[in-house]
Amino acid sequence: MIYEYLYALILLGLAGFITLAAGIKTDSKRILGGFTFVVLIAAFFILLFQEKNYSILSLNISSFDTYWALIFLISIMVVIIPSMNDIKKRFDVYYALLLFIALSMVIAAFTYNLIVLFVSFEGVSIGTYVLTAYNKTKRNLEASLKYFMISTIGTSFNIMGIAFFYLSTRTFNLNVAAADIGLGFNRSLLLALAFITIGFGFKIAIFPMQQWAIDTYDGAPNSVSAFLSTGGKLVAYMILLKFLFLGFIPDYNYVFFFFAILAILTMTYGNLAALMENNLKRILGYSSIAQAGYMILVFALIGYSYYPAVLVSREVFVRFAIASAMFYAIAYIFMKAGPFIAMSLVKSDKVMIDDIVGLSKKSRWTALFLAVMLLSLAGVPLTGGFIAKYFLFFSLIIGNLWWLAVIAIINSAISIFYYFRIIIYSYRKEGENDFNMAPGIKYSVIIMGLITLALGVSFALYTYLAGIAII
Amino acid sequence: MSFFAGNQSKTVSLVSLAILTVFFIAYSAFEFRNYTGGVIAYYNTLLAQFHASGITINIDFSLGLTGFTDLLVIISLFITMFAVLMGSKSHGAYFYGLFMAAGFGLAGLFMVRNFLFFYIFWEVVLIPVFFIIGKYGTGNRERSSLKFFIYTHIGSLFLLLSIFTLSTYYFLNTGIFTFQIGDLTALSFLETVPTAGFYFIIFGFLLAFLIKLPSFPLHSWLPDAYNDAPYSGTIMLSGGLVAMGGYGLLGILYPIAGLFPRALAYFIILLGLISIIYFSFSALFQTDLKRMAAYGSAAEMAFITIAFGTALLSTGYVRTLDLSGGMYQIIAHTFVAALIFASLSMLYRRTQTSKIYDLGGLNRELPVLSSFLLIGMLASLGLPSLAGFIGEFSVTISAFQSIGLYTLFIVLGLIITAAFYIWAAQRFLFGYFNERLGRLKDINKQEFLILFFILAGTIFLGVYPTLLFKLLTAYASHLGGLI
Repeated sequence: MIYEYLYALILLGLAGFITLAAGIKTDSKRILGGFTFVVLIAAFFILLFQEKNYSILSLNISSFDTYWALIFLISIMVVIIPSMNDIKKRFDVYYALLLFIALSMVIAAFTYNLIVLFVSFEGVSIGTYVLTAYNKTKRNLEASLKYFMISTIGTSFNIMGIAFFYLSTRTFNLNVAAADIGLGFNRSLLLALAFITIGFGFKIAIFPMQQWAIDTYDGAPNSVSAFLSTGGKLVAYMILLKFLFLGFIPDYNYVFFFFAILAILTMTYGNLAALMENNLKRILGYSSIAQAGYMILVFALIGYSYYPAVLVSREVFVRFAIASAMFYAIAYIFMKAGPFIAMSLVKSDKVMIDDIVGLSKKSRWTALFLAVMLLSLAGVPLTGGFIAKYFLFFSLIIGNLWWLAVIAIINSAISIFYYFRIIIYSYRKEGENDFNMAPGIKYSVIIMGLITLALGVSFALYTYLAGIAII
Repeated sequence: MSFFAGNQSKTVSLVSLAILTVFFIAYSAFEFRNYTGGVIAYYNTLLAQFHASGITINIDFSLGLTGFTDLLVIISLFITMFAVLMGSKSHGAYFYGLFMAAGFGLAGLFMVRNFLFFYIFWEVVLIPVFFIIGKYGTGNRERSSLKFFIYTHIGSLFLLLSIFTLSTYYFLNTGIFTFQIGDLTALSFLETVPTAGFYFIIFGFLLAFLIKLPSFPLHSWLPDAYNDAPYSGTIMLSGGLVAMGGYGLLGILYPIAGLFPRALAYFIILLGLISIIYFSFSALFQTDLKRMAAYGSAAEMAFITIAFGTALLSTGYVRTLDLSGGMYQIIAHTFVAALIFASLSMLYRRTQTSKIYDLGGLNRELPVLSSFLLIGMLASLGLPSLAGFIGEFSVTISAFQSIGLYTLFIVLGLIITAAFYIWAAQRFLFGYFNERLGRLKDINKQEFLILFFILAGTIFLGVYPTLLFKLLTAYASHLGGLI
């Protein structure tokens, strides 16, 4: 039966409805959350062990796609337990939404058809609008409204982009477009690139499209912010990665300049804005923008043409770049979601940097592993963020993009200021802050910090990714 | 391990460090009986490998020792042990854990023979020290620790870029991506690197190492960090961390330095000379003992810069003497700095101040401690028969062969150093006793033993240098043979 390949998808969808149905009888967060977690784990292992390299319906499943699907499942798993503390009631709808989002994300990971990509992406988006407003406080609603308004603009840009892409290539299927060698330069393809970048750029929070992100991350419940800045962002990132790699043949050097400039603006803006901020969640929001800047360096590399000055063949550095993007994604989930979840330790609604003073006195392990994740964001060795950045910069250099690597490294030096500022504050002794040491949050932070450390020595994972980094 | 030991963490750290040190000294005595230079005790393991479409990435973890790095590992274990020993009882397990982490990073840095892990260890040392200053320091500690970190981190980012460039060029030659130090610093390979690329590489390396050393224009993290760190941290900084810069210059950079332009050598010597004179003058104008000792220590480290520069110009026996003098200076400096800062720490515990004008005539109340302090200062200015002399003397006489009468600037620096130490000693050790300090208790037996062991080491290094000098000369002449 051909549907045996879709067990994971069927499981996620069914479990979503079961969760909703169970909501009639119970609103116990332990039962519902536990069920969701088990379902996600099951889907994770089904995807991990099932056969690769086949296509079914419009899904095209390779090791590369499976890896992203697994990453998306992880990005949901990490928020399930912390959200028990953030969400006040109606757990059934919340967890069902998470499962439906997971379903959409997995479909997005597997498909190469622009229509299906668009629909599954909207599935993720609509789910997150609801999640942002879930607690119905004034802050939540305001954040959700901003997010919704901006995202619908993004959606229309996406539709336009897809339409222009169809106009130039006569196909919605990215694989077919990639196979069509005689594409040549095409003005409408340029428009497609611009529109698609703007559309998905809203989700990734690339520079001119970033304004909503800070307010929304600040206003949403902490675990929802954690999900928005990791899972929600990575979906759009992966779609754009596929789109650029397959939809635009390498001679299009404008892809390179477009993304090089965007990357520089994005990381510089994110880092400089974060320096002057005192609201902790907003600092993390700005840092999320800066990280997006590093991540889209990969797009710039993909668009970079082969010149004689380039040291290795284009295939090699693009493969390295994609492998570092994949490594960055997994490290990013832990190092970014962890600090956002740690914000739940603070008992106030609006988390200022003073609120974290004395964390090390209250629980030194939590403070230590929070520091580990922040160090990872800063790219300090022995953390996952370091290896991701190391190989990203390495692929920039072997692609002969010195100046871009230098700019990125200088930015990463600037970013140390504000990450270390948070660490310093959390290690200050004075201050009478009271922390919410619920085990769900505390141990989530510690475990995610440990995983970040473990990723810091996973050289073998990187070389494995370099092997499967073929879209 | 010390993180978990709770109240016993100090003892646990000390015992484990002592066992390690004894074991390592025994091991190296065995390995280095008939040392002739080069890397021995080599260990290599392939962590991950990727092989496809004509490229290979190898990620190795490899360790190896030379005569020089063996001694550096010993002193890094020693200085960690000493810094832990000087930690006060009020500090918790965390404090000692950080020191153990920094010591681990130091020893790893000196042993490792792979640039990827070299960089990792390089940063692993920084982070615990950042926390030590930021959490347990005094004064404006948060700002100082951040300044220290930013300075050294910018250096290390350029180090990272240089490493990347090196391995990229290596890939062009061989089709293999590797970060092995031995492969990447082979002269046969480096001669094929284009000049512009090579200059970029040495710029990155030099920047990182000179910041760490610290050399003249890149030193402004030093006084703040030394001053605001707790005394154990200052001992770690001055004894352990600056040795990283020295090792970088003489151990990593020197083997490839045969390809340096001569103008760069003169520039490095100039930096060294300016450093000596500038730091000595700065020390002269300090009113705080800790700050003064910090500048004095930096002036001592400038000899290594000079040794590196002049060794580029000289040949044959002079170069061997120059190099081994510079290496000896690193090791001696560790002991001298430990002696000075430990005595200052004990002094501070008694008087609660380190301002020269608040002290005075301490010799009356604290005869033993002030003798130790005086000997430390004399060692720092290079009195014969104490550790500092051997290195400074070898560097000075061999510098004379390369730069001639400009050596007088070194001598001038030495004179100023002598001047400020003697001036300071006159002020706070002799002269009138400042009665406001009240009755002071001289050091107890335990403290005496600690200082005595350091002093014994210092004198031993000054009187019988052959034991270590033999290893260093063997390594240095081996390096000379390479170029």
